[in-house]
Amino acid sequence: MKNKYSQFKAVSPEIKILLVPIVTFLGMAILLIFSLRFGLTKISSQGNEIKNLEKNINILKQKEQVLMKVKDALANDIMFFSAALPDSNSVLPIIYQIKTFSFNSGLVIDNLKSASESKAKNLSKADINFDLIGNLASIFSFLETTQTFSPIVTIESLELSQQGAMLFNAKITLRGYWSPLPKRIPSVGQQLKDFSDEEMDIISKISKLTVPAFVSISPMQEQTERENPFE
Amino acid sequence: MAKIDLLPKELAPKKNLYKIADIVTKIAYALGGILFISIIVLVIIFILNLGNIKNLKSEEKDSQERVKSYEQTEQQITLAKDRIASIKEIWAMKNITTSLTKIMDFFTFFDENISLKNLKATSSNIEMSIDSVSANSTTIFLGKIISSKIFDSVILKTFSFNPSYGFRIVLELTLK
Repeated sequence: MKNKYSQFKAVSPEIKILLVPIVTFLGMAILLIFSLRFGLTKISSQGNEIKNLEKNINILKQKEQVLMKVKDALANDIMFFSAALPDSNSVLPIIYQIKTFSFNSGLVIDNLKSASESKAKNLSKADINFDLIGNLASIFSFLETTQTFSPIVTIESLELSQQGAMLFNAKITLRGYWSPLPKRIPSVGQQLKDFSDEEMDIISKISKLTVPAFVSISPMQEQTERENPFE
Repeated sequence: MAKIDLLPKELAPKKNLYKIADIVTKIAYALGGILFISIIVLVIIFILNLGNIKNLKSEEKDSQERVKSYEQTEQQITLAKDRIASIKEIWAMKNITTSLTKIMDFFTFFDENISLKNLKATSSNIEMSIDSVSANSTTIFLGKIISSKIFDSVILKTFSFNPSYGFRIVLELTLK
């Protein structure tokens, strides 16, 4: 019966001489490959993390710069946006504007009425119909003035008919708009673009609109005890 | 003391095998050296990157804090951008507002002999009735409308004469 080590003993001395160096070589090669692969993967993922962090920091720095720049510039104009396109029905302030400006232009206003609200996407609108009586120049002056109204309006229809030598009756339909306010602000890391030239132009136009001068309500007076008139 | 090799000569390994074994061993040692150096380099890069990441994370946090302090301004910008987009949409809609200047320019064609009877304007066209007491003024007026190029098309719907008011022209003008 053959000894179980007989096979090992049978290994030729030539192989025995090469065995240790080859095993060492293979061991080193495998270790080198695995350690390089592992190390490079780790470093590569670190590199990606660094890139992402640098990108985020750049976005945040850019955002901070935009915010700093806009902070002072926009502070005074923000109320104009809310007035120009309110978040609730704008018919009443528009009627106020119509009455004020028609009075200032020396025009007589009649048949003033508002249609019901209609909604398209995020924008609600309502038509305001009215008649203006006066001379042609005053009527056109008024129509031009409507472009300075805040809340903003558009002229949807115009019918002019002569009433007398210099007297005209104008049936006008103005359309008022309003839109709900945005519910969310973008996340901190989200890029914030500065206002474009076109947007700056709109801001400039909006800030020149005439905001209705509503009567401000003063805070409630402190209640004092009423005197007893029978004492 | 002299080395005594008891193996028979025919069983002794070939001499070049020793050389090969020696070369392979040297290569293995070289690989070991490269492995050692690589591990050191990788560890150094890894540690440096860790420090860099730590600094960047801290910088990111600071930036986030600073941006958060401008939350009110960001709200204002969001509101402004939302309103601007809607206002742009409104101003882009076709209505008489955009044609008002053209309608007003049209009145510069009037002279003392021509008067407007009535006018009906919508976003796409204008229909108007004009009275004229002079045939010459009527001709000049119509010539001015055609040469002005304010309107896309000019349709003369009716042209009549009555001794009480003179010429009455009904025009349908399509805006560009």
